[in-house]
Amino acid sequence: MSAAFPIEEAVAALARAAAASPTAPEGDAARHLTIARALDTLAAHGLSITPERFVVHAAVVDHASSSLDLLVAVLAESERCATAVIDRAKELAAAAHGLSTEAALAHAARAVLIEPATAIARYLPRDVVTLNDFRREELARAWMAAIEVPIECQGKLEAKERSARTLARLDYRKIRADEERLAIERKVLAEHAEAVREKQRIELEALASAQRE
Amino acid sequence: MTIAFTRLREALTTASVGNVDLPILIHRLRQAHPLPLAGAATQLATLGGDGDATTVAELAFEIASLSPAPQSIACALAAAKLERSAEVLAALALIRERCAEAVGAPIPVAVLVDATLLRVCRDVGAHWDATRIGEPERAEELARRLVQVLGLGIYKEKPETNAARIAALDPARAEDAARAAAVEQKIRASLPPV
Repeated sequence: MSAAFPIEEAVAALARAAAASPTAPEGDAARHLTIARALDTLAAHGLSITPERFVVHAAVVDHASSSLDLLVAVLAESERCATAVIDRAKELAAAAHGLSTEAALAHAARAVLIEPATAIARYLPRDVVTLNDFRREELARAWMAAIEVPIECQGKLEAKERSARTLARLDYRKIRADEERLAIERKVLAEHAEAVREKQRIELEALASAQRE
Repeated sequence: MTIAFTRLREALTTASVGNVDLPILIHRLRQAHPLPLAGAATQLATLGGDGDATTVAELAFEIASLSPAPQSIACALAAAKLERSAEVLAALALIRERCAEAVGAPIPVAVLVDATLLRVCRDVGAHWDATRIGEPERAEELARRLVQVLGLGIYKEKPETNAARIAALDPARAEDAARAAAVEQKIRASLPPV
């Protein structure tokens, strides 16, 4: 079983990374740096990936909306976070029976980094992650849920069900849905108030006209 | 190792080797009866230009690793007789060549197919599965996304039309609009009549 992922340490590392790079990596050099850093960090923990197997998938990632660079920064800065994630990658590689070592390692590296970054970016874009610690905690927890790594919270291993409940509470999709509902409510109420005002105006005009006659 | 990321990204979406006949592509997708996993892997490996057992095994593993909806779409896509489209085959060959130039090393066929054809399956599989491929709109969405990922054109259609049509066909957008309409209707119903 993988080592637990220390959530507070990850959120702090994400906050530092977001402060250091408030905007998404733009251009060839910045994206190359993200991928080179990912490959270096994976290699430093005993997971050496053939670059061409990794970079083609990394190129497909939407670097502007995904938090891939932030996830890579967490691995590079926090030894315990890196250990938890890379242990899981090693488990996935070991379970890839029938594949060459090269293909199995590349598959595992993508499964723990690129695929979660892409899937999470569909509903939790990078610019939202940089807003506050709630969104950073959601990113870290969603990442661990996607790769099935247990979470350590305040020094204790968190039960799987509790992790799922906490992630559900943080869900940005619900917050966005509430905001959208409020916006619709405001629009409908404003239209209704305008319709009431217009009716009153017409009634007052009709009354004034009747009084003049 | 220096990687030209912009060139790599472009290589993955700008093949420009011709125009596909969209109605024929949609028809093939609608008629496709999903293949079993091993058959799908063999077919996709052949499309990528390599029927080697190692490539097939690797693709079978990648397809098996997908969640159920994209996996079923991958098996349907493999059955869609794409090998009869010279443009699709040429686009895959050109993408592989350009990616190899950008990366400075040969690209394994399994990686090429995964980053192009299976990527389309992952994208659409977030919203629907192969049981819906017979629906004209879903088959058209899949066909258009395939054309987009392979960097192909469409006969008798302006190049910019495809992205707009994909956005219009996206079921997520339709779901959002339906949800917003339902919320609006509910709030209006709760207000006193004017």
